[in-house]
Amino acid sequence: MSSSEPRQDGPSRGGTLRLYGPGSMDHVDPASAYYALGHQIIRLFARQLFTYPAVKDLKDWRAITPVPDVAVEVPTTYNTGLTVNHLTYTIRLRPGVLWDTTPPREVTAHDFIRGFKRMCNPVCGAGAIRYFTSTIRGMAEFAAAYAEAVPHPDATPAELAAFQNAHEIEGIRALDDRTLVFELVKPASDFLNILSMPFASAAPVEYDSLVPDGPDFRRQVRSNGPYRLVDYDHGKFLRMERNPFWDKATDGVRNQHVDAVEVTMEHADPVAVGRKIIADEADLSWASPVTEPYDANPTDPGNDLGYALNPYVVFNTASPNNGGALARPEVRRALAHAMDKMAILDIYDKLAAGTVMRPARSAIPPGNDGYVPFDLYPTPGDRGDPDECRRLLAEAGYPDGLTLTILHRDVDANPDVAKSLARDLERAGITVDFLPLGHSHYYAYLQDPAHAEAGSWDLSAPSWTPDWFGDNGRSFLQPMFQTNRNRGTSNYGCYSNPEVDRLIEEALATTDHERAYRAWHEIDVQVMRDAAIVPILEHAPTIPHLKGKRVRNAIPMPTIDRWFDLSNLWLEEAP
Amino acid sequence: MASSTESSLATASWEQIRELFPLDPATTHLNTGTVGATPHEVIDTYERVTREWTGSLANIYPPTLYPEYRARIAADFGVDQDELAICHNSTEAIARIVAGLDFGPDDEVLTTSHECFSLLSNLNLAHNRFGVRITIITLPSGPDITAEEIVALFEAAITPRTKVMAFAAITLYTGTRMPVRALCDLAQRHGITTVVDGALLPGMLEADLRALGVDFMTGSGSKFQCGPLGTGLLYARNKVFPEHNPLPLPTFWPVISTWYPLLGEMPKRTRTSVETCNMGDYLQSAGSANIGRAAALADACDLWNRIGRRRIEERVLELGWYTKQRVVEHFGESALYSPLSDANLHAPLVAFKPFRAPEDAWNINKIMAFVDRLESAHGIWIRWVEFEVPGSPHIHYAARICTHLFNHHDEVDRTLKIMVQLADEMS
Repeated sequence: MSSSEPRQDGPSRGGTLRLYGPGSMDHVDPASAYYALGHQIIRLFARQLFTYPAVKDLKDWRAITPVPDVAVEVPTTYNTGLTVNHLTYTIRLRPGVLWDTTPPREVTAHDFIRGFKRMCNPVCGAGAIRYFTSTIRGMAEFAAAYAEAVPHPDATPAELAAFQNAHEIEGIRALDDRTLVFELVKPASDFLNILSMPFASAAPVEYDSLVPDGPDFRRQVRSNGPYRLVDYDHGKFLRMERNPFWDKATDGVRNQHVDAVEVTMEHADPVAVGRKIIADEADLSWASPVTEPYDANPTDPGNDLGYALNPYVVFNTASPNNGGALARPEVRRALAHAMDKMAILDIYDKLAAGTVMRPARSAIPPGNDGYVPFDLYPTPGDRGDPDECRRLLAEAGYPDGLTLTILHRDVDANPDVAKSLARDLERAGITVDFLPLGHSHYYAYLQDPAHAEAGSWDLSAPSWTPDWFGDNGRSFLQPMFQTNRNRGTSNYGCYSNPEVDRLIEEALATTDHERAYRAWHEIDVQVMRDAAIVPILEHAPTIPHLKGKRVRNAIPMPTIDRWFDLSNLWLEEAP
Repeated sequence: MASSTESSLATASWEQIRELFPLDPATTHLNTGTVGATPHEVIDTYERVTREWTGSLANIYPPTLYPEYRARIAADFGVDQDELAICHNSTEAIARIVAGLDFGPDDEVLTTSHECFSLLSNLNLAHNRFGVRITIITLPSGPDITAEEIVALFEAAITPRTKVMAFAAITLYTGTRMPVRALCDLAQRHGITTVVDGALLPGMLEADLRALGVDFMTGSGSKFQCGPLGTGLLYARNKVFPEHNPLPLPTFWPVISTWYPLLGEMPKRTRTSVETCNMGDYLQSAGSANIGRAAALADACDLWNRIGRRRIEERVLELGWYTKQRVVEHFGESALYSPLSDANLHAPLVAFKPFRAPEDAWNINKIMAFVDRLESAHGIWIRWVEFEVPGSPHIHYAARICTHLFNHHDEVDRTLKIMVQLADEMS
């Protein structure tokens, strides 16, 4: 348990919640935002059909089970929401959910359709677009036609809107303003999890005149949640205030206790962030892993939820550097032998993050569907084997080594991780350069295949946490490894193997859970055989984040990497 | 007295027969596929027998095996008491059949997407529990489908692992009277067990279950048979009549049974036409039971015998045919999802699309509103149905009219006239 809180009779209203730290949203646009910190903010202003409730006990299955958000109810066969073949979902929308437009306007089924179309935009699309295109009938065709009709990433809002308004996704229809029908290509037991992703937010017609996630978008983003963005300076500051048109009667999961939320984004290490919180100059950390004392057994993740890969090394398979060496699996396999995972574990240990960490060997870490332990690149004590790396590189035709650029964030443990990896590679005869980036630019940079294709980086060490828990076989492999070279991709290294693509579709078509589990494992083995990544550490993300003394009811949410649900906490001023 | 009643009902007009049912004059009941109307005398029987047994000191267990009622009802369907149990509904019967079959993980069940949830959900349970593979084919629909087409579809889907074919006797969505005998012939040629969901069959068609060659069949007591709610039939073939079904009896476990041996096994099951093990008793013995319910169902069956089961069959098929013709006249042949040209597939359930725009066929809101308005504004009770259509990515929604012996042609005419107006209005 975390530190004790004074007994409360009920929530207090008011105050400004202050977050402080080195983090940044990757994108403000829900269509492309794909980072836990961003999702923490998006939850406040963008609503989906379904979402997750904030549940205090992480062992409670309800914490990871979607509940209706703008939808009236969870569709089932017995309420006529789900057909017997599990291919058609009829979802009815709550009345009274309003956009903060002038005048305020009801959120409609058409707004959700617009949101789904915007995910496919070529300017800044959804990182996990394959969740949707491989599930919803006609969405893959819509995305392909979109990419063909508007092939350039600098398209104007008019070009984007022209395509979107003239084309339909066959498998999504509005029967009226409050009824939405989805037709699937195959039954998907995780469909409600997919619909609960922030990508699947409604989008008002005003977005037709804005570049997705562009500066104007960030200034004019609309809200249908309890707060709205009133000030945003990317990577520096954001402020949200109450949305006066939000009505608690229409929202079963969020509240509006605090007056405002402010996030100050500064280059600060965890010690500095912790100091600010203890000094009551901030209430919560923004990105820094600052923990507070807790009594729980640190070896108990507190639940049966899936581990995260944090970090893993992704290779830029599109890099033209070294004669395109990283496109070759035998080169990547050689490099996989070089990494000293224990050295990186030591770096994280020093952060006293209060979480279970182990060296990782597979793309799917424990607790997630498809996980079966195996290790294709064992090294003694997980300390790396530079000699084996050197030998295999020579075999692959690189006896004189390579020159590689490591892209890394310049905050928290990331520079140390980059240096550790560099040491490992240098021991194997590889020359290493660094490309440090601020937190606010890092993921957006990785998500743009143009940077990968230009060879501005060769390897990097991001992290990946599952988008949902339970029945989540696809939540690692599909976004990370299925071919996706669109801007916004989360297949950062542009890895592409048609056989893996095919196996993923095959696994998705498997309705039998055990067979699907085996199928996901087989894909894991294949991507590891290809050494698309090097898993470094598997993390049970149970960090008990430090809270300021006036913070009450701060509930960590598994689906936003255990960061707190800001829509349910309140501030208790000292008497 | 008895013979006089029998004689009068056998020749009574349909208007007179309608008087047997407590129908609300303000309502047009065209939904017997969901629930029938229980005749006055059946309700009386239920009440009388219940009162007789309530509070009595008699030993309740022997009569709750319903030996007499089972014998009477079994005879109506060409079978014997040892092959029949009276249960609560067709869903329970299906569940007990699926749970009682000797499934292994390599076995496959062949069924259709046009089956009732009660069959599909229990098959999925077997899949999850035993690893049974479920192969689902989608039946064709529309005016031109033929029995041969349906049999060929099943035949093409049979594999060496197919252990069971499970299908409806009459489908509840498109009202297709399945070629049961031909499908059983096919199954027997491949050594496959047949499980037939006959929820709609009792009281609609004169049926000889033994002659049909089925291994298992369920039936509802409260739909076309018009017995009390909460009555159903479970038929399990318990003797071998080679002329109908030469296959040995399939291994079957009578789950939910008080009388299953506490030690050892049931008697060996027969390989001939002579009973050696009363499967019906094992299935029927399930603690105390509602005697009034069984008595009332037996009474409903007796009433059908007095009217004449063949006569009822002819009546309901004629009403169904009349309805189809009127639907074609008002909405066009292409509106029909139910069979038209192959009379062997006819049943008194007629499914069709009432709206002109093709896309309205997959608009659930419209069909729901249509059916609601028929009931609330016009007192006409039908239902909407949903089902797959081969080659279509959509689930189709249709209006379903279901006629029975107490309906008459005027009701069909009035209903269709109102449906035309309403569909026009809503189009």
